[in-house]
Amino acid sequence: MSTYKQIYGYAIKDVASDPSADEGQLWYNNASYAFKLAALSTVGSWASGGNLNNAVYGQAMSGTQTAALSFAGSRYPLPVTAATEAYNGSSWTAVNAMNTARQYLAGCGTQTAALAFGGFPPATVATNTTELYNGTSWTTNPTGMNTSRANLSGVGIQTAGLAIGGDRLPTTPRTTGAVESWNGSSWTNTTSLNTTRRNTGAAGTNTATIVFGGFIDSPNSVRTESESWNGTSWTNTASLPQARWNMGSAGAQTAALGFGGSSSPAGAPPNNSTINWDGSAWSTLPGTLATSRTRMSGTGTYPAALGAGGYGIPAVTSATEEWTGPGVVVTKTVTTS
Amino acid sequence: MAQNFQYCVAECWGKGFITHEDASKFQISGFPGNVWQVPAFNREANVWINGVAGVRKTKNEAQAIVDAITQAAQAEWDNIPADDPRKIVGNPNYRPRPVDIALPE
Repeated sequence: MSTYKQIYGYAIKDVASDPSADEGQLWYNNASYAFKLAALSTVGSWASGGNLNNAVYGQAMSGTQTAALSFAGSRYPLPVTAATEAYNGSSWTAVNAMNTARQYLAGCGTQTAALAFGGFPPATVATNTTELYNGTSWTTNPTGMNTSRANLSGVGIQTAGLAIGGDRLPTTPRTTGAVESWNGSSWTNTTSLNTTRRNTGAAGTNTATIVFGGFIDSPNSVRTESESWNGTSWTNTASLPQARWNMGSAGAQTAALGFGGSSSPAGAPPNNSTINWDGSAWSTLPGTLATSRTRMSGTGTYPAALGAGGYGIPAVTSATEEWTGPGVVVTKTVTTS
Repeated sequence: MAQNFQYCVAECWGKGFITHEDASKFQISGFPGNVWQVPAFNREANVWINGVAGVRKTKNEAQAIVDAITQAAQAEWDNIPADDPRKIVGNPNYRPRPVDIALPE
């Protein structure tokens, strides 16, 4: 006599919450009364993540989509902060604060081995201060960057980072294209950007980076330029589809994302669009942030990025959004349509 | 005039409020006052509104919520002294005056 299993195959599991599944797995979610399927995503999209405990903008981030760190920034109209929060893939937890409160800093590394550098302390005089996080607490490095600056970009890891461009206020001219390399204990000047600018997006490592967009003054303009770093020199690449600055960014030199930001130096509303670098060209992706914002921060990879905080309309936001790129296994509901 | 969007008010609780499955099927845009915009006459969007316990609003009702918050922020900005760093273009603490938001039909 035939059994159910012989005729229909294995029984479908009945679960209360969606499991972490491999492509092709099917289950029944008895909480949502729906059959669910693990399938490859065909388009990239942003999903809501756990909200930050405190709305913040102009902060820095490190780590991955499921193990990230957000540090410093501003809680406008409250003061510039040194607060740090850690993300576990679903919620943020307050951890030990940095030693120096600041906004518009840069960061890189992982959740448990992060690097923070530059920024504006409350006095709005650009700092060169560098701090290291060991998963528990922050330590100020004895020496800082050679050029004090804020509104810079940072990529790499705690033992091999890169500080790119920035704003030297109150030094004039404010904008610098200076680039410094971090070896785990000190900064060394290296080749400057071809286009001097600040407030850029950036993704990559100490030896393989893409830098894009940003702002220059004299005359004030938001930029479309993109440059690639090979560890020795910068090469101009294809331009962005639209000038943009103050965006979040994530990914690698050959597969990067830019999201949010704005396209005009003063008064322009924040952006919600996502741009993608595929190693040869920039394009605008259909997936948009649910919350338009500028001065947000990002971390992670092209297929799995994380964006949090930022300045929306009309206020600072605590919203976190998680990017999943095409070709990643996601949960889908089985429908009759 | 054709109705392209519908609106609701719902508080974003964080993870799971908008899933990748939702975002890959239709566009969800957030506005001040926990106002959310999704496509009109869209079955998946209707399911999402119900799932987040969204309170449906007409376009005019949603616009009134957004206007009230925007105008309060604009009034707050207008009351900042002209020499405050928040009003000086180029200062790191400069904040542009919040712009009006016109919700589409």
